[in-house]
Amino acid sequence: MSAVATAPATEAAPGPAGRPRRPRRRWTRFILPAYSWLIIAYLVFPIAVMILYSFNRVTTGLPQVSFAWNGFTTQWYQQWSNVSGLTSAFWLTIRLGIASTVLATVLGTLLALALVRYRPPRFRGKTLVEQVLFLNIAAPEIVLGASLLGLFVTVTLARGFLTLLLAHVMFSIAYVAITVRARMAGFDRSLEEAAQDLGANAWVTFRKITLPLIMPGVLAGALMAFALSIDDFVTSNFVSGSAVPFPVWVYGATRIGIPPQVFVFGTAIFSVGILCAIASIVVGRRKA
Amino acid sequence: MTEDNGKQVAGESAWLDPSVWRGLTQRRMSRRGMLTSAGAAGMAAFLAACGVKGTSAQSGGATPAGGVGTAAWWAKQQLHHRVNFGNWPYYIDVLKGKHPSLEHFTQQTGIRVNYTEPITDNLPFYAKIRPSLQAKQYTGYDVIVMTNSSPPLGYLIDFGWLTPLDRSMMTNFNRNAGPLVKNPSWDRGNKYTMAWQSGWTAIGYNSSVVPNPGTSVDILFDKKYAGKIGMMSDPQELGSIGLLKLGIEPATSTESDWSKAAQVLKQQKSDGIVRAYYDQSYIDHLKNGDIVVSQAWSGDIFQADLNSKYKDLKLLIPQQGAMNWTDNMCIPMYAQNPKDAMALMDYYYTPDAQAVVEYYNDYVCPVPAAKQVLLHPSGWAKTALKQMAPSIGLPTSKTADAPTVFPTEQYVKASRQYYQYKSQEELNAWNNLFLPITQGA
Amino acid sequence: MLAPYLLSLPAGLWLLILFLIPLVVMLSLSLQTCNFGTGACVMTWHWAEFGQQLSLYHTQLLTSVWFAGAATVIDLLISFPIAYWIAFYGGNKKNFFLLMLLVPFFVSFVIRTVVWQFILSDNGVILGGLKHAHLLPQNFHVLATGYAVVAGLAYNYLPFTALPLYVAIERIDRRVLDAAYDLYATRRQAFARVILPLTIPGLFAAFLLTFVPALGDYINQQVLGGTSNTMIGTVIQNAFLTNLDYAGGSALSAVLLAVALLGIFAYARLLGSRTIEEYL
Repeated sequence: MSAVATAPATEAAPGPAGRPRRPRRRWTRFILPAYSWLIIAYLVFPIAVMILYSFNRVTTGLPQVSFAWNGFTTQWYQQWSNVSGLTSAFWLTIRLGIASTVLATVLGTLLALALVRYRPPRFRGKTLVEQVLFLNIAAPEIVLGASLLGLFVTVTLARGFLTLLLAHVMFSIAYVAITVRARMAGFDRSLEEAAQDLGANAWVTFRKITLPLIMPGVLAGALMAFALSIDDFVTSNFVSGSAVPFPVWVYGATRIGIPPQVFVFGTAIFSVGILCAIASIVVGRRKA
Repeated sequence: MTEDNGKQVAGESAWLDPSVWRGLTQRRMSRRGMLTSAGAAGMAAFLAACGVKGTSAQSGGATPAGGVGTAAWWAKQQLHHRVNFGNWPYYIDVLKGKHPSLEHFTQQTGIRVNYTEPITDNLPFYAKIRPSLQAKQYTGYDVIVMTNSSPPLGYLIDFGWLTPLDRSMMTNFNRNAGPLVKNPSWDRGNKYTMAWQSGWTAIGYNSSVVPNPGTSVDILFDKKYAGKIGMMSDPQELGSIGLLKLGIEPATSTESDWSKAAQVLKQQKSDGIVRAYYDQSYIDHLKNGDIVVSQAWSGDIFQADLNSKYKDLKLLIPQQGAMNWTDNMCIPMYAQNPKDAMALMDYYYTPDAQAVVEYYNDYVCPVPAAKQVLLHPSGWAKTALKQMAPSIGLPTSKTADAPTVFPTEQYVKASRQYYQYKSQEELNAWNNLFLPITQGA
Repeated sequence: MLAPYLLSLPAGLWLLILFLIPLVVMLSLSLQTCNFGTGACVMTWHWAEFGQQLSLYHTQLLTSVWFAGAATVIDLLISFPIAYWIAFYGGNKKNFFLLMLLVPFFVSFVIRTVVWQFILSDNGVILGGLKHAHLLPQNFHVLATGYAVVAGLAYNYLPFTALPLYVAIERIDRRVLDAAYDLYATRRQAFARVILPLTIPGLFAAFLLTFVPALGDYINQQVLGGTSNTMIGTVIQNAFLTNLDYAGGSALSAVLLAVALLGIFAYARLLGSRTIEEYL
């Protein structure tokens, strides 16, 4: 922590003369931006490599990625669905992502509502619930996966889509609840009360007033759950059984050499994600 | 693989007759022995508790309840025109994302094949299907492929979790199966299994960096290539090569031999010779130059060697011998489509189907007659081989002549068998010696 | 009124059955004796399992703590300045820069790691070129070393560090900072006395979201590491999935959970907090 403190503070100490009202200086003008761009380049570099090599021709007998640049081709995009195991793993991941997002968002949002609105006299287990959420996030994922496997083995539940769904919802709930709760912190209850004074019942109040108000938080939580689900490897690897999700398939394939289509899927997921993010920024700006 | 490497194996006699194969394989302990031996008290108790009549089974393996697998039971089964086939990745012919041999099978029989590649290792896969088997439920697979060198195949047989094969549906097998895979020691009389492919665990090296690998496993311990040598993380493979290094026959080794082998391997690691302990991923690292010598599976090196870019990769069958293994097709209990599974398994004993598979796989072919198909293809196999040729990039005759596909006598002679554990305790002892090496800090 | 209980019931049940009970099952499994073949386990109150596993694998556990700690510190050092800069000087490009920080998120974790293996390979894009130019000795390698593992961890978890920090810094009321300057605080003082204390929740969340997953990670080690840097995650994964040693794997998982919690509480103490929940 002390190391962190030194990071931005190491710039030449400003002279005490005058009133240094956060003066613009070399540090913030050149060094920090240059540094930030450098970090961004570092973050983007592997992705650029991935995208580039999704267009690499393959000269070996087996279609596998290799770093020798053999020439440009869009072959792998045309044959994106040629590796049947990969394609079905991808669709499984999408189905799983949607299903677990819906479930986790509903459960997490309800939980967040309870946590924001009620305090101990009326909601006695609140601290306990918070501690469980904390423990859920604080437990290394491998512990979650391993203990779930222990449970499924003990109750002899065959592993497949169902066990994956149970697990994904389990590790998403806490993130959704915390995200939604954070967005609801400054929530104005008077609107709800006004609606009820005007004769709206609980359900109408929730649908017409509460839900629209908390919607941004719910969406953020849902996005979080979806991202967690489609990217999950550790837990899925433990509980997947005969249903193999995308990350698990890719990891299995690294043992033999991955087909170029993996990079095609990687590029596609990346592009869709980035487009959605940009769209949300643009929409957000228009609203603002 | 080239002839040079073949010559490194001292071989003098002509093509050895089938009895040699049998002799080689018979040295292995039968899995029956493993179960009933003194040390297996715990497992026997479990079997007793499950009502599995271990000792009374005639030819190895427990007799499954309900007459499953008897001729009468088979007579009642019907074709469902679908079959779920779970195999290892990159282990079947591929043409533009489809599998010509499977498509031909579907055309011929009307049985749709749901082909998946869920198996990347024996034990993890076994762990995945075991809960279903224990619950007496369908595992989701009608045909799976298990290796004889790894414990799960024995577990499946011993616990009665494999369906005995329908003797009346093994026409092609009976006619075409090679001596290597007929009546093997791990499954006498092919009661439960038919081989899919076999291969050797030998040594792969990059001849441009390692011009003189010698003729011995010593190359894996050569300080000159420290940090560029790959070993396998599988305890069976690792332990066996340690035994070979000491000149000990793995199949007849003793526990004290094992600790000596572990000592040698620990030394090799602490000397910084080993870069990493790999699973199947070693081949990628061998190709990209991260390692230059490695324990290797024969088919991988042959496939790589064919490509002009990796033509420096060579296979060395060391004078101490190379471990020989077989992957076996079998039908898990409670399979929903057993008759379709039988049809599929027997289909792969037609020379045409094996020729098409082998053109892609380059592992040891269980059907010797496939060689003639590769040399003089006809019918659907001709079309399929022709269509596959551009992506494979070499004439079919090359596969036909490959000693790693249709073995020469040198290869037969160099084959060594894995140690067959006689009890759970032995397996634990082996694992406790060799596992800490691969995952040590 | 049942409302709070009804609202938290579904999620609570889900977490009870699929999170808390499995933890209990895990603890119980670690005291049982299991048959590798059948997977059948019998409770034997075998407490020695913990000692046995720890004596076999304590080095791997320490390696994990060390690597995860190193990666976390590196990430905190890397991301604090950038989070600070975006929050205070990002202007109307804030969202763009945040998106850039998030970029790795849009590519699957496994693919990211595999690409790093690809990049760092002995004859790969970087080392291959440098070796070709004779700037590096031929046998130089990054892969299969601890450095590669830490670098991989640091890369993969950087967004998890940067985002909470950004959120915390963003929330700082500029007027408080102005007040500090009005009171003749130097920049250094303003940073140490105002900015840093106000970002403590962010520093905590960053640690939680970086250290904990890095501690249990085994992908980076398996893809980028070698023989002498095995992390505990690999051992646990092998115990469960390769060797079917559920008892040993459970014991190690329980130990890992304890280590993670200890780490978190120690860190919270370091930041000067009394309770953990205040950060959630």
